[in-house]
Amino acid sequence: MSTIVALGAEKHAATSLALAYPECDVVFVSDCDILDGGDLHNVRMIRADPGEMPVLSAEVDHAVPLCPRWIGEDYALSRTFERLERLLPGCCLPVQTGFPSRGEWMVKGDRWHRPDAPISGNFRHVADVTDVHDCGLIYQRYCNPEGTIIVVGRRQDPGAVLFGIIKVLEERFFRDVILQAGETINAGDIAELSLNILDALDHRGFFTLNWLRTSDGPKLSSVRPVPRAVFQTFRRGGVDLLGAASTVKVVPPGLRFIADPTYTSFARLCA
Amino acid sequence: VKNVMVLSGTASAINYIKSFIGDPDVRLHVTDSDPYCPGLYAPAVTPHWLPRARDTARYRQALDCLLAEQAIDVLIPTSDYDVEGVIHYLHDGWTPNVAMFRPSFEAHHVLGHKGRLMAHLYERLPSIVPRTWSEPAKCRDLPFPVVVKPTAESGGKGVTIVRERADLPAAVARIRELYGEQFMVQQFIPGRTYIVSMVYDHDGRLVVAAGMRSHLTFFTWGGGGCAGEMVDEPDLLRLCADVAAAAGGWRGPINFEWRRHAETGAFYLMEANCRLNGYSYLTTMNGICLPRIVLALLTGEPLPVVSTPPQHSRNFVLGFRERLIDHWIAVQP
Repeated sequence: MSTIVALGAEKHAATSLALAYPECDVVFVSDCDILDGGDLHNVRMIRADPGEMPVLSAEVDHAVPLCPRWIGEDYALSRTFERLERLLPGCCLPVQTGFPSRGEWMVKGDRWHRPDAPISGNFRHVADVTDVHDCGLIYQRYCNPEGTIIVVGRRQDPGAVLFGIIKVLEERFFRDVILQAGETINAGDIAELSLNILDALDHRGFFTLNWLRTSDGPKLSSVRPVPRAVFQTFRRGGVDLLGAASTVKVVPPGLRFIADPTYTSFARLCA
Repeated sequence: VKNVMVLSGTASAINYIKSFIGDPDVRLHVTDSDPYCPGLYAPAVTPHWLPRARDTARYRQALDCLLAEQAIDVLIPTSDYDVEGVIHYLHDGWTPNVAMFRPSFEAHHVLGHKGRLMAHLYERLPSIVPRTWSEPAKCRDLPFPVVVKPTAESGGKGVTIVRERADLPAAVARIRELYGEQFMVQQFIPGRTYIVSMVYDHDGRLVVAAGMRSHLTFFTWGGGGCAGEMVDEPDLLRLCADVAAAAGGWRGPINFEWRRHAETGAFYLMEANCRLNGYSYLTTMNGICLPRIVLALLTGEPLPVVSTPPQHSRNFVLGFRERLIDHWIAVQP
């Protein structure tokens, strides 16, 4: 039986991973002491800190980071978008680290998703938001999109990419952002743009690209080096995100999913 | 077989759905205005889309149609908006041919609004009421931190904890943009969140009360619980009964959210919600099936046996698990 280590298992994607790979031993690793998933037959849980990541992911079949906190490299959105603006001008909704002086803005986490409900509004109305989660704060022009699409996958090498394109029908924002409902779609323009961006960054590993459909065409609003809770959907569509990639393979359209509220008992993880 | 309709398919509705699944005597209908609401996709549920309860005329018309078409016997609203919509409809003379609780309009008017409830209790039960300010800009001596929150929402929507005076204008401006003047500034009570869910019968007599507390909250700053356990707090149950009585009494399910002060141990009332609480399935996990009690009171059947505190040993954590579905339910244009 192969072993998957899920790093940052407090994230919504952790149980998605465990449910998608019932034949694997899945180790949930987190620095939070209460986690969902203790009832799943293939799940074990370990409490650890992100600094222990190299040890935990050594000599396992698959290490899957579910939160950028558990990745040593710097994937700050501000730096990624700065690079993309040089390489592919106009593809992103720009972000800035400095506090804005006019207009409508959304406050985001720079190194990882800022927990809790999204905060947006006139620049004066977001003046009280502080970086209590140490994720770094960035400001992005508020945009009321016609739709939100995420591209989730893993890029192994140039030309070896597994991914799916998901129309986000509903998200819920708590400590983590919950992908409440979505459906895989065909979107040739988004697929092409996403592959261009991954190539430009020469990104390796898991990714989630967040696209907004705007009157000015699709705009990239974030890039995170982690997957979302879509492992079962992708496997149903014939795409195994943990498997070896040799070509570009896309999840077929028409697969629908929801996030189902589940109640289970827990035992606190001890340090 | 009874046709039972649960209005809204999330939060406390999940307790009803999980409690009634597999009962051959219940055909469960679930409604929601959100076609992606998880309760609509639960096994053995007959799903229906309804307009939002705030769209009063459309909601009433669609609800009446559904009750007739589906031959509904029992109606249970489970969201704040549905409870409010149904109570206002009853107040306007609605007489549906279904079994349902009919609490007084006046009691709901007080209990269903944080600002009115706090004002109502300020003279009757002052020790449990956190200090509140409706015009914070005029108060020079606000004891920070304070909580800025809407008066008629629940689930942590629109809430900000303000730690310094300098941050108050932005928080107030943001909430005004969303809720107009329907907000309040409240004393911040440090400590854990407790919930008491209660069920009153048609005559306003308390049938059951169950206390719970949170180990983990939905938001990093607090809010509703997403992990917790049951507690044996008889004094808190008495306080809840006092609050309900002070508001004129209640009929049906209701829950009260409290903060227990971390230093003094005193309980402070945060809000009342005229339905079971979102994570009331915890009580069902521990042998107190509140949905069964609600259904028995509505149908006149014998009340189910409930467990006692020594048996309340199971805790809970709420997860959201990816589940594939075949198709989305249809939304009426």
